[in-house]
Amino acid sequence: MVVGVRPRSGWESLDLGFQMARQWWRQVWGIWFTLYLPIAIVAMAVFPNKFYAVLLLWWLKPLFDRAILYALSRLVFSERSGVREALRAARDWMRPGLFLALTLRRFELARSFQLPVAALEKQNGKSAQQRRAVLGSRMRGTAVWLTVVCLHFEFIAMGALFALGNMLVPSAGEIPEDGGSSGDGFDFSDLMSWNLVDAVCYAGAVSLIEPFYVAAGFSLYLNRRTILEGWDMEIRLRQLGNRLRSAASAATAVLLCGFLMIGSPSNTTHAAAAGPDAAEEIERILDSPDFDQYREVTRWRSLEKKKEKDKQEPRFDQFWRNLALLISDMSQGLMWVAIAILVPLLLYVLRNFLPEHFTPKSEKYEPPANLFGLNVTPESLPADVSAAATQLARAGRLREALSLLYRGALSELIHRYRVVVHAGDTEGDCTEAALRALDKPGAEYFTGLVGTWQQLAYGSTPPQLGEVDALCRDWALHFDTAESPLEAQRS
Amino acid sequence: MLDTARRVATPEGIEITLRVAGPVPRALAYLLDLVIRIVIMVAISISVAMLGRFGLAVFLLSAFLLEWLYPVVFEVLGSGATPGKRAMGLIVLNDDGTPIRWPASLTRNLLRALDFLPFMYFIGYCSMVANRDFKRLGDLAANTLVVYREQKPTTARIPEADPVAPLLPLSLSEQRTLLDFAERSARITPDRAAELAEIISPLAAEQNGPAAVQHIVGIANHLVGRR
Repeated sequence: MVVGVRPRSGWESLDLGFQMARQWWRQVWGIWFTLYLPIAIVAMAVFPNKFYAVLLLWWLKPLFDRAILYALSRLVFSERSGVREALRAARDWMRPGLFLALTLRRFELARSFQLPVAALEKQNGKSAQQRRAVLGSRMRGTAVWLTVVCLHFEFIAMGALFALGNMLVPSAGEIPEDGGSSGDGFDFSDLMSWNLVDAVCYAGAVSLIEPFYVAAGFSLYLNRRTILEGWDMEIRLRQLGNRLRSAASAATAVLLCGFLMIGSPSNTTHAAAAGPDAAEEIERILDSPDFDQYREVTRWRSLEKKKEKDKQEPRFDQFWRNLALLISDMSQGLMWVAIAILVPLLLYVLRNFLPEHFTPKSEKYEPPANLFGLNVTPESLPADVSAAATQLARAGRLREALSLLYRGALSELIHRYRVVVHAGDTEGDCTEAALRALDKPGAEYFTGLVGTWQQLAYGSTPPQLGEVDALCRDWALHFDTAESPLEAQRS
Repeated sequence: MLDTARRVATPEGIEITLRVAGPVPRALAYLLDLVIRIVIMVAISISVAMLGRFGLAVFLLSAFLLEWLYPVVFEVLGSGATPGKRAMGLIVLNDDGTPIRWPASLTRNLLRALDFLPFMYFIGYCSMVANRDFKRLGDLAANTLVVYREQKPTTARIPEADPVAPLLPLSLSEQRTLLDFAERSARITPDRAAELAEIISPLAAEQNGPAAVQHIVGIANHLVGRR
């Protein structure tokens, strides 16, 4: 079954039918046109009033439907079914009930849904009637809707093809004076007299819709049987059954291997436990073609060498030779086991050493030139920060004075105290790092400086002149030492 | 495998199944919507009939809005379905299974003008039957799908039987198969049920006929926890 089988709603199974016709459009429309075109051409040639040709084509629909249904029913079970196969099997799909289908049952409203009962199940008379009742008990409503909708599709397609023709044919834009077959004077005889264009539009519309109609009805029928007979369950149960059987035979196979390896008579009790037909089963399975393998091999062989080998053969003592083979096999096995243990162990041990080789070398520390917008390179500072700041403070430029002190302090910290500060660090980070590096009075001084600076810079609260003076004065005590504190400690 | 179900993986890695809907249910949904629109238009025309030329303007404006925006408003604000689609159990979604928004809905519904040509959605029909996902041109342009609304799962009614433990461990899908069988065994003919049960005779203790069915139903009872 190449179609997904599961219990569907009525509408969903109609959709699947449309997909079936789409999937196998070559076969379906191939069959449709080989049957429909000749009959349509003959009918249109024979009848001067094309209405009768159309009526005949309409009446013969069940005949064409059966051919398509035959092909679809083969294709669904992945059997080849092209135009040739369908035509060759014409006797098969025409019987039984074609006569009834073309007369009494022609007006059946669930036609495509009930078609398979006669055409595929080959049921006739009363049994067919019962079968239709059983199948139709749930899905008949959907089937009737399908017929009604497809009928309207046909009308629409016919109108559309007609309109398309009118759009594309240049002369059709002019309305004929005497009023054609589709003029505004509507009477019964007009309805009954079709011209060739009308008939061709009809045939085209039917060709577009009818195969879908048949496929949808067939799909609805398949779905009904799936529900009634549990087809989808059968597929899954078969899978389960196969697994159970293979599991059972695998179990017996394992037991059998056990007997061959050990080969002691004390194990026969197990064989009895495995069931009397286990042996038969094994025999049967091993006889199946799955376990056979024949290959014809043609090779050139030196005859002399074979003779030498034959001569040498008796020199080997059978027992020692087998023992050597056993030892070689065993040692090979042991080697693989050893490799399997040693390789992961080696990797595990190496893992502890590896990271050190692979850790990237830490980049060389470069003191930053700028910290939060302040230039802190020693070159940017005056030689005597303290004096310069005092001068600025005296001149009333408190902000610049404090900024200079702060920059100077940071620069000293970075370059003389070797405090590690990165370009992206915040003021808080710097202060913390500085406090760790400075001695206690230095730390006190630095926090005071930072506090005052922050008050001025962010709080816009100007400090007292005396305060700034004191900061300028004390700066030299903590930072402007001739030698670096590291060197001082060393000496 | 030919099927109308489409599997779509969500970004969360969950696979959902969308069952695309074909021309017949969609045509019926359209017909229902058409009837609703006509009823509304008749009601409007009656209520504005006394207003003369102003009434005509109101009628024409509301006809325009109803024709073009009726599906859009319902699809976006009415959780993906116009009343007709709702009645047929259909819903419009984006290709990836997400709910449809204004741009997509406007695209697919404004392109009805194209699908309608040359007469009553003939192009739309041709596009639908030629497409794997039954997309008309509007759906192709807007990357939308019309799918069946997910039904609420019904609780399985498994007939009562003496619970039997299965002899072998069963996978989840196999357990489901057995539960499915137990649930549906009452609705298929006894002969057919026995035939199905005998397929897995190793599990049914090599029994035949109704006894095998009964045994499997017993296993199903065990699986649902009636121990």
